[in-house]
Amino acid sequence: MRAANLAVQCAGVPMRNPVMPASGCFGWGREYSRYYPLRTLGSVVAKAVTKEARPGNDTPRIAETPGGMLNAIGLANPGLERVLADELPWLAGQDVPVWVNVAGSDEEEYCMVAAAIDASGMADVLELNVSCPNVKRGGLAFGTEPSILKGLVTAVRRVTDLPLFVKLTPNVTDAGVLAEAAVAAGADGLTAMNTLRGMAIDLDRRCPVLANGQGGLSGPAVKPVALAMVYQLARTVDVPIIGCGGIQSGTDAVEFIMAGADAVQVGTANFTDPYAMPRIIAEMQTWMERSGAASIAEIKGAVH
Amino acid sequence: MELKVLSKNEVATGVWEMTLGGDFSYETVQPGQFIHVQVGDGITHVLRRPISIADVSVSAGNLTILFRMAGRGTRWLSQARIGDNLSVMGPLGRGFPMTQAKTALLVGGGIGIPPLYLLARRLAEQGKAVTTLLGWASAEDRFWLPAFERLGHVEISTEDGSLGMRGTAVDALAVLENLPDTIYACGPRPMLAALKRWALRHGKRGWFSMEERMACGVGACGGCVCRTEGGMETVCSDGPVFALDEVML
Ligand SMILES: Cc1cc2nc3c(=O)[nH]c(=O)nc-3n(C[C@H](O)[C@H](O)[C@H](O)COP(=O)(O)OP(=O)(O)OC[C@H]3O[C@@H](n4cnc5c(N)ncnc54)[C@H](O)[C@@H]3O)c2cc1C
Ligand SMILES: Cc1cc2nc3c(=O)[nH]c(=O)nc-3n(C[C@H](O)[C@H](O)[C@H](O)COP(=O)(O)O)c2cc1C
Ligand code: FES
Repeated sequence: MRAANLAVQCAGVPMRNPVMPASGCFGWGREYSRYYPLRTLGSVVAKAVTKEARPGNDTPRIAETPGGMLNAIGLANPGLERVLADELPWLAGQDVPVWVNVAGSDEEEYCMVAAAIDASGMADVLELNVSCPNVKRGGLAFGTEPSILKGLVTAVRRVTDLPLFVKLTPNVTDAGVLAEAAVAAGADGLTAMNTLRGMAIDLDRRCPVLANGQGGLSGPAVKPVALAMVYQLARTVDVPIIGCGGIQSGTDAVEFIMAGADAVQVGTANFTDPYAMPRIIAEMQTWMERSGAASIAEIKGAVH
Repeated sequence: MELKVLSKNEVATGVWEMTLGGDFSYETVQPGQFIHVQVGDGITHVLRRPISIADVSVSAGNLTILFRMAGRGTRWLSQARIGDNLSVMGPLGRGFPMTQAKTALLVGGGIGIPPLYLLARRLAEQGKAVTTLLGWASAEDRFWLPAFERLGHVEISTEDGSLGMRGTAVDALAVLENLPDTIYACGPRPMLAALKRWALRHGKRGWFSMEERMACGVGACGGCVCRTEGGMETVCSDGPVFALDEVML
């Protein structure tokens, strides 16, 4: 059996392995640091940051569905100032690359947040959240209109030199068009994908389970959708792709790499099992060694 | 971590008592803390179920939960067999602070009653006078009544009047002769709202345990928030216990 090396480089950022949490599913990292050291991971991705604090939606914000869950958190976060003061300094000291997910209601807010996080020196990568289905203004609109997305990425590109990833939504007719728009505007990479719009109904109360009405579907149920999106994007653009959606095991992660991903993000699985990511990394290692793959590069895009 | 099912009993129709043993931080458990239990293989049900720790034995190394079969997850749990292993996170959350006062009033409605048992036991062990108001829908729904009666004075109410007085646990406030110093409660929101009004009117302080749908259980996802005077706080890690004058109902 050959030893497999899981290390990868993503847009110039070296990572010990290709596994990182999905934004919003790992808090600010601190919450899970009691379970294992964060440097076990390839990177840590923080939750969405906006300029001002946002309280988020009313509850219920969560519903379970077969093989998945719906969430309508509503970009709840303490706002840029407190994130810079209270959350990122700790995370930046954990010996692991830090990705910060940036959200906003208009171009100005995205740029302002991106520039401030860049200037703080506490982030290694910015991930633009243009795909949140759970807020009334902003979010999804930026991720569904190619010309609006292009404008946004162009504007943010001007204010930061950090590697810039754009996280795409599956709630569009053709994600390839959005991907091309983002890359043309200067995105260094893409994350695929955010949640699928969904709904659950409470029969007794005759109303939606979520206070917000609709929410975003995640978990094992969405994995085939995410895989197909990664596969399509890998054929469309020539930038690093982060696969995300329903990953629960090492072999799930390998499937995404084979579909063309450079690295993967794990969201909902952290809720099912707080040790999900260390387990996924170990399972990838085992799978690669058993099947004689020495590096991630050897299996990347294998199905194309 | 994995805990083994040591015993299980149906203590009322659809309400199960289950004792779990194995490697767990029993000695740190505070009344009001909960465990987050995986149901099934983790694929069909991606979310764990939060269940309060009703009792704990540090010397025997086990804990007891009491749960109502409310849906698919708790049904799966009720079908676990003795000797099965359950994947459990915990103890999670911030529990009930112990009062400095000499008397305590505990108010529990239905499936909000379980966390009050460990609390009543700890308070009684510290020599506090414990009065407990317990409310169920009907007489046949009751559980652990003798256990509470061993720890102090108990008033019972049922919605259909089949046992004790007719009404909710809060209606039993009217029969109290002496007003205790500190209030602890867990139960349906309307019950807590009524109790909060009563407590503020009588200048009483105390603590409520809140319920909300949870995903992570550790304060990471922002799914389980509740509104307090200080803003949005997570039930799983800032709570589930909040000061009654701070939590907004
Ligand atoms: C801190 C805390 C302590 C709890 N302690 C107990 C206890 O000791 N005994 C007990 O019987 N019940 C307790 N509950 C309620 C218990 O968690 C729910 O009854 C259980 O999650 C229902 O799961 P289900 O799959 O059977 O129901 P379903 O309705 O099928 O569940 C669907 C989803 O909704 C969630 N959900 C449904 N009802 C509730 C609820 N009331 N509170 C929170 N989430 C809910 C489930 O967790 C699941 O994610 C507690 C809840 C919390 C938040
Ligand atoms: C509770 C919750 C909160 C989320 N918050 C964010 C967020 O703040 N920003 C973001 O870009 N995506 C967010 N997402 C989407 C996830 O990052 C991820 O794209 C999605 O859940 C699919 O991956 P999964 O199936 O592994 O969970 C959130 C998802 C969940 C379940
Ligand atoms: S359940 Fe995730 S924050 Fe409470």
